[in-house]
Amino acid sequence: MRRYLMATACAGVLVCATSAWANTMDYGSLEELFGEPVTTSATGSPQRVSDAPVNMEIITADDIRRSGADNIPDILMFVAGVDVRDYAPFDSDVAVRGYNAANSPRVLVLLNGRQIYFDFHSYTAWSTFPAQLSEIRQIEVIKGPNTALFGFNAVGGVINIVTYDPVYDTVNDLTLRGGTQKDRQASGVGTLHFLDGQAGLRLSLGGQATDIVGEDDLVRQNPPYPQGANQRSIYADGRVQLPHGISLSGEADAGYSRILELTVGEYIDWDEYHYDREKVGVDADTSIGYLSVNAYRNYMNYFIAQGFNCPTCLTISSNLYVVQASDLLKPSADHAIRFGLEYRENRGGGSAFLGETFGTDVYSASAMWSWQILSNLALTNSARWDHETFTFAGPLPTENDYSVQQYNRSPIDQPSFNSAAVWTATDQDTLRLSIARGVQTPDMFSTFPMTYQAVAGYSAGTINAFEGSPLIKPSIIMNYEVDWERAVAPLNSKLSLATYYQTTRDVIAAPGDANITSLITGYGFSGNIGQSSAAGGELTFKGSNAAGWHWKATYALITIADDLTVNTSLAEPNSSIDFSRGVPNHIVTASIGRSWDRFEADLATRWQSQFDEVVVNTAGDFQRRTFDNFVTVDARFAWKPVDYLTVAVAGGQINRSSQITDNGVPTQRRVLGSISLHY
Amino acid sequence: MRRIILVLVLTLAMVGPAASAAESDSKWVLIVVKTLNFVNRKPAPDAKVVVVGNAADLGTAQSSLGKMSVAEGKPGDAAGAYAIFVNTADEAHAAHSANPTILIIGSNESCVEAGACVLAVETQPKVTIFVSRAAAQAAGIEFDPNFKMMITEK
Repeated sequence: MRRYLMATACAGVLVCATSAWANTMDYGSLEELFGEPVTTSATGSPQRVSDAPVNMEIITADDIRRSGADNIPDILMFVAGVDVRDYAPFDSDVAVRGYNAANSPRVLVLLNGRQIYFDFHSYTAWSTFPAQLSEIRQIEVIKGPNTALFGFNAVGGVINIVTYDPVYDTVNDLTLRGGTQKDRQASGVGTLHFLDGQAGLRLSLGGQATDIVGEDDLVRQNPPYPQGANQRSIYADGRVQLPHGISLSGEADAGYSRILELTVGEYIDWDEYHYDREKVGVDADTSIGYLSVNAYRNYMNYFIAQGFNCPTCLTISSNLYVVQASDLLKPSADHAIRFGLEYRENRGGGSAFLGETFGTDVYSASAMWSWQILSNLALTNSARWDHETFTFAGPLPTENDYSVQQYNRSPIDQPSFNSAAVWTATDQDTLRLSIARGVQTPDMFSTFPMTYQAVAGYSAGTINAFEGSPLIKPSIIMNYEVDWERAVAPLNSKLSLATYYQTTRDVIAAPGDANITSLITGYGFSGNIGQSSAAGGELTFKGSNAAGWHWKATYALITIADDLTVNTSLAEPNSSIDFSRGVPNHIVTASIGRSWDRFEADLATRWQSQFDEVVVNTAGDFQRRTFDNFVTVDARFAWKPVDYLTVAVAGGQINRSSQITDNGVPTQRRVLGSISLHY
Repeated sequence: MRRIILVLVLTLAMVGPAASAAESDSKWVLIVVKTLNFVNRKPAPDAKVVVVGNAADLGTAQSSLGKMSVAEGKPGDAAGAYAIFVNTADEAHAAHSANPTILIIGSNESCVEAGACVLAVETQPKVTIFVSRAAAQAAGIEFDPNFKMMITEK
C-alpha cells in the first residue's frame, strides 16, 4: 500500500510536460475524422480499429442502444466467438473462443483500462459492473491472448468498456425501465463542465430489481431467498486539463448486488457483493514521450449467503492495488514504441478463515514496438515479463498436506508476447498473421489454504474443505491466427474471417474441481489437470446504408480437444471441467434494423448447437447435463416523439416463454418498456 | 430464418451507387477541416484561408470554416493567412516564403512527400492523413499526440 501511494505521488514529479495538449484521447473527434472507431486496447497506442494488430470487434453506443439489452453480456452474445451463459438474472459468464463455465476465468474485463475482473476467484461478477449503458462509448472485444499488454489472465480475450470522456463529451440521461418478472430499473447520468470546458465530471447511478423465475428447475436446491435479485451502483468519472499538456483524472465507483449465482465448480449459491473502486491518473505529452501514470484500488467483499447448505456462510474480502506507468513515443515516422511498468498488490481474507493472511505481489515490465515496414505492411511486437511473489502467514490445520513454508512458495516468472503482421494487400483486403503467448496464473483461491470448515455448517473430512495448492503452476496459452478482412464497397459492408489454433498447457482446476484430495483427510486441492487445444473460426458480415438500414450476420465454429486427468469417464463425472463437450460447436447470429424519421426497429436472432455442463447436485455429486440446441429472438422498437425523449419496448427471447439453456435457472421471455430523457 | 435472410438480401439490393465526384470533393474538404482540430495553433475566428487554383472546393471550404474568410488567391497571398490550399510543391514553397508559419495543405500526397506541404488527405479507400515532419517543423506546427500516432508521417 505504501508503495502504491509513493508511486502515485511520484507521478507528478516525473512528468515534465512541454506541449499544450490535453492528452486523454478524444475518441469522438478521431472517430468522426477517420470514419471508424478508434482504440488503444490493441497495443496501448491509439489506432483505428482496421489497423489494429489483434482480432478486435468494437460495439458502438448505437449498437448498444439498438440491441435493446439492459446488460452487457446480452450485448456480447451477438459477437462472433463469444459464448455467454445467462445462469440467472445478473449472473452471466462470458467466454471468448470456448472454455466457458461458471466463474469463467479466461476473459479479462476492464472499465476504461482498469480491472473489473475479480482476482480472488478469477472471474468477472457482471453484477458489480458500475457504469450505466447510456454512458458507454464503446465495448472493445479482443479475441485471443493479450497478456503482453494487459498482464496475467488476458488469455481467452479482453473486454475493455470505454465510457464517454467527462471533458470532451456531454451525457445527460434519465431512464426508467420495467416489465416482465416484475423487473424495475432506474438509471441517471449527468455531466458537469467547469473551468471553461477544461474540467468535467460525470456522475451516474442506477438500480435494478427483478424476480427470479424457475428456481424449482435447479439441479441443486437452496433455501429460497425471498427478495429476488437486485443490484445498485454509483459511479463518478472526472478529469481536468491543466496547462503544459497535463491531464489529471479520477474515477470512483461503489455498489451492491444480491444474486443467485453459479460459482466455481458449478455450485449454486445466493451471493452478495459489496464493492468500491478508486482510480487516479496523470497523462502528459512530454519531451520524452506521452507519459501515463495510473493507480487504482479495487475492494470486494463477497458473501456467500446460502451456499453449500450453510446458513450463515462465507465472507471473503479482497483488496487489489495497481500502479501502472507507461511511455509512448514515436521516434521516427515509421516506428512507435511503448514502455510499461506495473506493480500489483493483491491481499485476501475474510471471516470464513482461521485467521490466515495471504496475498501476491506482481512486478511487471513490458515493451511494444510497432514498425511500418512498407506503406501497406506493419509489424507489431509486444513482450512482457511478470514476476509474482506469494505471502502466507497464519494457522494451518494439521490435516493440510502442506506446510506454511510451502505456501510461501518460490516466485512465478513468466514471459508473454504478442506478435502480428498486418498486410493491406489491396484497397479492399487486409490480412493479419499473429502469434501470442498468454499466461493465466492461479488465483488466490487455488494458491492458498482457505479452511472453510471453521464455519458453522462445515466439517473436516468432507469435500466442503477446499485448499489451494502450493504446487500449482500457471497455465500457458499459445494462439496462432490468420485473419482476413474485405471491404465489400458495393454493399457498404465488411466481411471478416478469422481462423485460429490455440493450446493450453497445465490447465488450472480450482479446489474441488481437480479431483486431487488430501491423503490425510479428503480435502479437495487445486491442481493442474492436463492440456487442451482449440481450433476454430469466425465469420462476420456487417454493414449499413444511407437509407437507415444496418445488418450483421456471424458464424462461429470451435472444436476443443482435451487431454485432462479429470472426467475421463463420460458416465461418472468427477469435475465440472469438461471443455470439449462443454462448448457449443456452432453459433450463428443474424440481425437487421432500420431507423427512419423518429423510429428505430431492430430484430436479432441467435442459434447455438448443443453442449454439456457438469453441475453439483443436492447430494454433492457431479452430474452431467446436456442442453439441446436452441434459438433466441430479440427485438426492439423505439420512437422519439421529440429530440430529448425516447420511448422504447424491447423483448428478449420473444420466441419462447421459457427455455433451459444452461445449468442456471431457465431463461425467461423478457419484455421491457422504457422511457429515456436525454438533454 | 428464411424470411430474415430474404429481408437482408433485399436490404443489400437497396444500397445506392458510389458517391459522386462532387460529394468526394466535399468530403475531402470536410476531412481536412476536421484535421485542424488536432493542430496546436488554433485559428482566430476570422482568420484568412487561401485556396490556390482548384486545390479545394471554395464553397465547401467556406461553409466548413465558419466565420473564417476563404478566398481564391495565389501563393504570394499567404502573408497574414492561417492556412493555404495548394496543388504543387512549387506553390507550397512560394507560400512558405511569403509566410513561414502558414499551415500548407496539399491537394495530394506528393506535395507532402516532397516535404513542401504540412499535410494532405486521402479519403479513398479509407481516410489517410499524410504529414511532413520537416514541413511541420519548419512552420512550427505540432499535432495532438494521439492523432500523431494515427497518421502517416513522411
